[in-house]
Amino acid sequence: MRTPFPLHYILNIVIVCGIYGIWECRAQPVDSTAVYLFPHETPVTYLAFWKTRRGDDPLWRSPVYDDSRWTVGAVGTLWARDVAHGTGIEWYRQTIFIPEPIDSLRPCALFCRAAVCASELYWDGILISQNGRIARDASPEIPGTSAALAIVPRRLTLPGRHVVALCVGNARTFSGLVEAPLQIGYLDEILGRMHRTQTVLLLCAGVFLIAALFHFAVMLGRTRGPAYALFGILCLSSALYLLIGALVNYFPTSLSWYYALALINDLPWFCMMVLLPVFFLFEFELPLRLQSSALIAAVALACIVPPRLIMFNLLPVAWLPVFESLNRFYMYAITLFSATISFVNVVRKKQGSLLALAGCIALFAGVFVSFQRGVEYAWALGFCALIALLTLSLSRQMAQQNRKRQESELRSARLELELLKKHIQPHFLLNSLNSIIAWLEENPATAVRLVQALAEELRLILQFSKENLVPVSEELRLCRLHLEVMGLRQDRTYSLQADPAPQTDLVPPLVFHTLVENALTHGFAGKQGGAFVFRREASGGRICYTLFNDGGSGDRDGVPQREGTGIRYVKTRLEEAFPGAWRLSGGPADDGWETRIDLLTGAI
Amino acid sequence: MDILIVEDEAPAARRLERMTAEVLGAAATSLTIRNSLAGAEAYLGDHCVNLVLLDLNLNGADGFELLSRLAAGSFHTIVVSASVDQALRAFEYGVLDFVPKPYDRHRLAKAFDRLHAGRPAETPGMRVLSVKSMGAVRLVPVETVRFFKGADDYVELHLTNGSIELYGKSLEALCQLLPPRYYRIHKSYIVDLAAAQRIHVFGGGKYELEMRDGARLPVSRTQYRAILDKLEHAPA
Repeated sequence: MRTPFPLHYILNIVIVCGIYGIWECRAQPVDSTAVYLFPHETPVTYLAFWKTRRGDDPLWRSPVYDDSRWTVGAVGTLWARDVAHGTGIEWYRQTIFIPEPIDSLRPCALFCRAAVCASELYWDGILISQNGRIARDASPEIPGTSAALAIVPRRLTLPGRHVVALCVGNARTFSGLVEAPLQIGYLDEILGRMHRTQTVLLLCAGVFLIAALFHFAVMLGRTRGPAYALFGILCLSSALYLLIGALVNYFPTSLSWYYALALINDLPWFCMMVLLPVFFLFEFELPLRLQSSALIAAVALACIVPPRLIMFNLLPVAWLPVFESLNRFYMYAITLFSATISFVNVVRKKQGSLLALAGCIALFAGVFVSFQRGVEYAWALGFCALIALLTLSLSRQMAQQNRKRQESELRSARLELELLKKHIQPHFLLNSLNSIIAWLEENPATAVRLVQALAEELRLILQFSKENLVPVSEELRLCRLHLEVMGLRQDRTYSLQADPAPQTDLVPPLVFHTLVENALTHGFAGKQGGAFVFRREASGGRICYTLFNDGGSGDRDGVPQREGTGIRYVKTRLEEAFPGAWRLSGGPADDGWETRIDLLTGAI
Repeated sequence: MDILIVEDEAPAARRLERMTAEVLGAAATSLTIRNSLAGAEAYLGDHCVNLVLLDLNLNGADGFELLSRLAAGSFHTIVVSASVDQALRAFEYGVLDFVPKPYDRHRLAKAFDRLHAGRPAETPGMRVLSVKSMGAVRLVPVETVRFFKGADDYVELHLTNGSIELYGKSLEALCQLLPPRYYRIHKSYIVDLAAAQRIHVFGGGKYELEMRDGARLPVSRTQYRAILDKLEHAPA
């Protein structure tokens, strides 16, 4: 059963669009720029919405200044309102109410991850932090660094109304920007959260790095399918993405590099976003893999490139929210896409699909928590779970492949041994030696012929023993040698008359030899000799070989004997070589016995 | 001595015939070759022979089926075969010797010596007796025989189930084939000494061996000492 291919995609997109639309409608911005601070209950509060205004005026830092006519805006928005791209100075104001006295032993702090490029932070009109230097009065701008932490003096956090004013100056780069909501709360709590996030991200990066190394190392050892290479690159990209993010937070970086870093970090991000669904395409061997991969890469580019174009003022800044939604939508989409592929394969009972599905669900949960609850590292944890589960699944597949290879090696060794054991039995050799002695005494020339025929037969059997298939013509040569040996041993004349068989006709070794042997054992008691006739008929994709002998057969007095080891050997070898595409039959015919082998030639 | 050679390979049969004639000389009064089971049985139906030289894998037919039929006859059987893995089983059926192919004159001569000396001591001895009754051959395990009693050219097998079967070989021939624990206590009796209880001594040189199952069998005067020795040294 095969599900029609485009159905997954369409279904996926419809579901994702539906769910995402509902979420976007629900998540309306909260239009409030006044925050009540209850550090006992909420140790850290996020300041996402501010009153903003372009320009610069020393009065704007004052707590008594009336900012009611300022624009309300969220942080994370690029500046692109004036002609000189996004350069200039912008002020952000926020009113904070402290309703009750704050723990006097725990200082409060404000944390700003990145304000491009220089910033000043005022609390009730008093400068509490300066990051770099804003360009004013012809003095040049000195860029600040990322991860700026400002401690609010304890005397300023008395109960009542307070005003926080953030002045951001950008004279060098394309656009000014406050990257993430500012955090206000107890200093220890802010630092603690920062460390926890960083630790989790680094831990995940470590997991990805190890997984990547593992898959690359495995790839060096043997040739593997593209799925494994893709998986290795996917892990490496994830590790790089997280590492770059974490290092910027650990080592405060000049904010004039902000956009360059963002571009660099887009590369692994792009790889992650593309390789995850593409890996699933290859791992589960879906049809149209290359076309689908190209499509996914195009969609990912369409989601990732426009925000950067906006950043460099090449697209209207008003489109930014649209593309941010699109990005989030894309992330949900690839997660669900991968989950759908896994699910379809779980239904088809494909190996490893259940683990993959569990991983996809973990990733979806992580992405969901990240977007909807704002927990920064949740998606990374989800991704980590996915990678761990996929590595487990791939390792199990590798173990199974190893086992299969060992089994097949063992099987061919067993076949070789079986062939030698069956055809070079001690009693065959000892009887032949005994006959040679008998002929030496009676007629040495015949003894010499017997020794030569026997040697040639043994040589051929040893040569055949390592082959899975031998040319029919060679097999018939072996039969003739065997008939000569047995004829000399029994002092009878055996003949084999054979249709010519083309060199391309192949059969498992010693199949006809075994049939001849069987006929000799059962058929010619009391006769002076015997005649064998080998015929080959090819018609309509089928080859039919018949071996007739004018002796008896395996059945005495019309009672068929039970299947002997010879026939079992023939059946086993035919099934090994032509699984399900052969038929062996036999019966009395024209004062003799005929054995017939039908082969579907398509199987060769 | 009349000898039948059963061998499907003509050169090998001729060699065996040749060598037998050389080894036995005038003692071999007749030598006949048959190259198939059916031919051998037909011959034995009409002729009386003293010895059969048999190749076990005869034309692929189960050699032991044939062997069990031959073993029911009055003659001894010597197997001449390349299938040495079947030697032990052949001895269990009661063959006198097993000559592995290829053989030489010396080995064949040794086999003919067994006709007087009995089965090689290192072999286990027979375990089943082929009994011909009403045309069919039945295999009787040696353990189920209480004692063997000679009757002319035959042997009566007195079985544990109370019945008596007639065995085709003479008591002398049987004695050569049985495992060592069987002992001829009297010119007409062979028993398993392991199943003997004690010897009763009557006056006038009359002795009787009492078996565990209660049977009392005569012991010849000349064997009395030897049997007493064996019983005393036998493990309790």
